[in-house]
Order: sequence, then structure tokens, then C-alpha cells
Amino acid sequence: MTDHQLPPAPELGEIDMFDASVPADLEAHLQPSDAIIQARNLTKQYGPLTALNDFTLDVPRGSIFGIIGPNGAGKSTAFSILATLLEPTVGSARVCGANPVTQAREVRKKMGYMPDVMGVYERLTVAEYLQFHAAAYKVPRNEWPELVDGLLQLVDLDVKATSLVDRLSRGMKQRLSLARAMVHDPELLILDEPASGLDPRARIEFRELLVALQDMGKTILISSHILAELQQMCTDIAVIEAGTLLAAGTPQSIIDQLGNGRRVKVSFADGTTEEFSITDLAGQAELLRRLVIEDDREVVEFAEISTDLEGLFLQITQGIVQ
Amino acid sequence: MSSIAARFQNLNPVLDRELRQRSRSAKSVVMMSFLLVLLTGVLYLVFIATEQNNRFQDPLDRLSTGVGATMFEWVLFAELFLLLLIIPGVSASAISGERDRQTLIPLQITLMGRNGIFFGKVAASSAFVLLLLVASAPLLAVPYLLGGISLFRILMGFFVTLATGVLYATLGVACSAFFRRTQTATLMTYVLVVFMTVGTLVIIVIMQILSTLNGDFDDPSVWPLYANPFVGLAAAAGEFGRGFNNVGPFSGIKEGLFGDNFGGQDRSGRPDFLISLGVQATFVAFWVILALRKLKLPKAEVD
Ligand SMILES: Nc1ncnc2c1ncn2[C@@H]1O[C@H](COP(=O)(O)OP(=O)(O)O)[C@@H](O)[C@H]1O
Ligand SMILES: [Mg+2]
Repeated sequence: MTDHQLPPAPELGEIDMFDASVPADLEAHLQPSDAIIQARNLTKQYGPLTALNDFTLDVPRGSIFGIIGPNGAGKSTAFSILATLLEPTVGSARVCGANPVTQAREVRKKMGYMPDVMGVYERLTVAEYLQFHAAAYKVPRNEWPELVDGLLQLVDLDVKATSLVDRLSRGMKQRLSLARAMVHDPELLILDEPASGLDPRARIEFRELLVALQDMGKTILISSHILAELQQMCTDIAVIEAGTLLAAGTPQSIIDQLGNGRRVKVSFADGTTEEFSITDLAGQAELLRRLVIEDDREVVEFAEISTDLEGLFLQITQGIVQ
Repeated sequence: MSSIAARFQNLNPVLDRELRQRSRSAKSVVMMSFLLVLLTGVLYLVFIATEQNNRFQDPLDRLSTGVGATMFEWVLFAELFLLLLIIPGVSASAISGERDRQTLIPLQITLMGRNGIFFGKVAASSAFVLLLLVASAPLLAVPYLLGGISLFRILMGFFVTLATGVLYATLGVACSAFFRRTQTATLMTYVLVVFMTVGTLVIIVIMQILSTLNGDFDDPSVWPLYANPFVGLAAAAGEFGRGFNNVGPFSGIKEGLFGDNFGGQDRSGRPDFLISLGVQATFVAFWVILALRKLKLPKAEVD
């Protein structure tokens, strides 16, 4: 039982969302509404390769928490550890109040997991597919009809109940896979790149579905390598690169932290352009004055570069890969 | 009524699903037909051959000439042979197939546990073995009608074949959990089946040669043959002091290995078939332990 004692989360820059000074276990007991996932120093080594490096993160209950990072960043590795599939080389975690390594069964009762690849069975209907997983989660048989109807309505597949699962479109399979992850009414959903390979329309529908699930009180941990997918719906975002967590917080707090002011692009009459960092409007005026008056340069255009997360993401991650 | 319903409610989900899927596939019907056609062919050939052999005898005598026993033994021999051919192909994809289809992890994170998954798969493969045996049971009844063989021997043959089939189905499922790819699992199951059948024979031959070279002409040990499924079935379905003109394989094996003319002791009271099944079950259990270890989550390395 000594593994209950998790060290507090170290601060990630200045944007730590939660008070991590309270011991993790105490926090879990006194404030059950707080972090549903506590990851501490998770490290995964594949031979010489460090797939995940000192990954520490708290996921607040009720949030839609997005993990963003390019392919190979370690998102699936982190999720596999949290979803009781993989043992970390170093570190520990607490998911829904239990240790995913030593109390996997307790975690599984409360967590739904959608892997990055989704398999479907042959010769099985959509309803049977869900019934099978309900049975595997030991949901009593008399509850199946209502459960399956409810889930199929939720993911908008009710008209497909008697279709064979291997005949569904990709978007439908993805939604079925989400319904599958929810047959035991978990409080936490861990979704590994659920929107990859979906067309824009299916992606929007999927996003709306996740927001609806959050309204139902579920916590959602979701990953993507496409920032735009997460930016709009997530309450929290963490950026991971080459196994290392670079930043975490609300989308806005990440912009504030990493943008550290704004950037402007200045074009000159000789056809060259340069970029400058500024902190505020005074800085902007100062820059302009310096360029035009002190340096005596002919400025033809002076434009702010919009710091949306996508640009920011490129900014944060540059230099670490390649 | 309600207890039956309750029992079905507790049917292993994997078994339930596999039975449902199988009922929608033509594969099992094709396999069953394949088995029945071949066994009928064997039955017919043995009948023709024994008729040729006995054609100078009085027709009334033929009933006592072991035609029925010969047919029974050859059909059962062919049945075990074909089962050992079919079973790896069916069972060795049980778990690796889920892995290939990427359905294994969603199943493993449910509350079924690795035992539930593994033995659900074993039950599904065993159900198929049972189906094949029941479907071909009438072919064992024909020799009974011809006479010269007891119902007890036929039942012994049936159940020991079933037990052997279940053991090798379990072996196939174990290989499919242990080896990552279906092809490797299937190949390895066949390799292990060949080891148990042909391999044990080779070991015996080598042991005999060695003991002869050592100048030891006494009763050479035959214990490795207990691992051989055909020997186990022979112990159950063969007869000592076989009837006149019984040229079935099992009585020959049984008398040769366990008869009182060999080693000078009467072993007819000894359940050699149980010893043989026990040896085979131990071998299979070893693989089951390895397989269950592979299914343990969380694991140190993902595959
Ligand atoms: N089973 C494995 N064996 C060896 N290396 C692996 C294995 N799984 C993942 N990796 C490596 O670990 C790193 C992180 O992978 P992954 O967690 O899948 O990243 P992501 O999900 O962010 O794309 C990658 O460099 C990947 O090649
Ligand atoms: Mg991934």
C-alpha cells in the first residue's frame, strides 16, 4: 500500500492548473472531484530508445484533456501505461484511484479505452458486437437491450444495429469503437487518436459527441497529432515531443506561456522580411520607432503573426525533432 | 427453466460469440463434409479389403471373422489422423487471429481476464472437435452392426478420441497465444503434433538401436510411446486376444506394447490409456502455462 504515496506534480512552467502541493493520495481522498489521472515520472524504455521520458501529468476530473504531439512522440506509449496494457520502466500512476500496474482490474472497471487501431469481427452484427463486450464486462444480460439501444443512439448508429460490423464505414467503426469503450459506463475515456483518418464531417460529428460525453460527466483523455482537432473542444492541452512533455494547461495558458507576447513580421522596401518578438503594444511602438527612425529602414508592411496553437505548436516543437 | 437461463447467462462470452460466428460460416460445414467423405472412403475400402480376404469362407462365418472390429479400428485410426490434421488449422488462429484483427486488446482490457479469454477459446475449439466427432459417429455404428465388437469399445474409442482432440485443440490455442503470428502458431502446432506422433516413434527406434548396440537384447523400454496419441487410443480402443481376422491397427499396437506376450506380464488390468492421456495432458499443460504468461497484462514490452 506504500505505492499510494505519489510525489506531487512538479510545476510545468508557470501554468500549472492545479494545486499539486497536497500529497496525491490525500488529495484523492479529500477531493474526489479532482485529478482522475495522476501520472508521476512515467518513463518507458524500449531498449536504447526512450519512448516516454519522465512524464508527469494530472488530468482533472470532468475535463477533455488533449495530448498533442507528432507521430512517435510517445502518446500511445503513455496511454498504454495508463490503460493497464504496458508497464512503465520507471514511475507510477493512479487512474480512477487505482494503480494501473498492480490494480489493473480496478482501473478497467472505471476506464474505457479506445486503441489507435480498431479491430472488428467478421460475421457479427453491430448490436452483437456491443453485447459481446457488455458480456465481457460482466454487465447483466437483462440490461443489454437498453444499454445497446442507448449507446447506438448516442453514437448515431441505431439504424445500423443489425448491420455487420465489417461493413461499416470508417467513421461508423470509430463511433462503434467509442460505444464499445463505454459499455460498462466508465467515468474516464482514454481515446488514442480517435479522429485520425476521418473525413472533416465525421471529425466534427465525433467532436460534438465528445462534448456531449463531457456534459454527461465523463472525463476524456484524447490524443492527436493534428492540433486543430483538439484546440476547439479541449479544456486542457499538453504538448509532448520525443517522449517529453513540453507544456500543459488550458489552450489559452499555453499560448500565453509559450507565445510570451506576440510576433510581428516586417517587410522592407528592398523585398526582405524579418520577424521580431514583442511583449506588448508599447514594445510594438518601440520596435517600429527603432526600425524607422534609428535604423532608417523603409518599412512597407508591419503585420502581427497570429499565434494560434498550430503556429505555436510548430514553434514549441521545432529543433527537438531533426 | 430459470436455472437453465441462468446457466446460459454465464456462458463464456468468447465461446458464445465464436459459436454465433461459426454458425454463419460455411467453413465448419466444409470441414465436416471433408471428414465424412474421407472416413466413408476408409470404411468402404476396409470393407472391400476384408471381404476379399474372407471370400472363401462360409458367409455365415463372416460375422465372427472380425470384419466389424477391423473396420472400427481403421475408421477410428483415420479419424484421429484427420482430426490431428484439422485441429491445428482451426485452433492455432484462436488468439493470434484476434491479434491480427486488432480485437485482442479491447478484449484483454475487459473484465474477462486471461483465463476467461483463453479457456473460452479452448471451449470454442473443443466444441468444434465434438461437432466433428458427433457428425461422424454413425460411421462407428456401422462396424457395430456388423458385429464382432462391443459397444463398450466403441464408446471408449469415441471418448478417448474426443479427449485427445480437446487436448490438441488446447495445444493449438496455447500456441496461438504464445506465438505472435497465426502462421507461426499453426506451423508450431503441427510441429508439436508431428513430434508427439512421429517423433515418439523415432525416439523409440533410436532407443532400440542403442540398446541393441549395448548388447542389451531384453525388453527395451517403450515409455516415450505413452506420449503418442495413437498409442493412447490403441490402449483404449484395441483389444487383447483379438478376434480371428481382426487386422485393425489398434489391437496390433495394444498387444505389441502392452500385451502379456511382451515382457511377460499381463497388463490388461492397467489403464494404459489414462496414463497416455495424462502424459499428453502434462505436455499440453506446459504450453498452456507459457500461453497464459504471454496473455498477462500489463506487460513489460508491447508486441
Ligand atoms: N513495441 C515497441 N518497441 C520498440 N519501440 C517502440 C514500440 N512501440 C513504440 N515504439 C517507439 O516509441 C516511440 C513512441 O511511440 P508511440 O508511443 O507509438 O508514439 P505516438 O503514439 O505518439 O505516435 C516511437 O519512437 C516508436 O517508434
Ligand atoms: Mg500513437
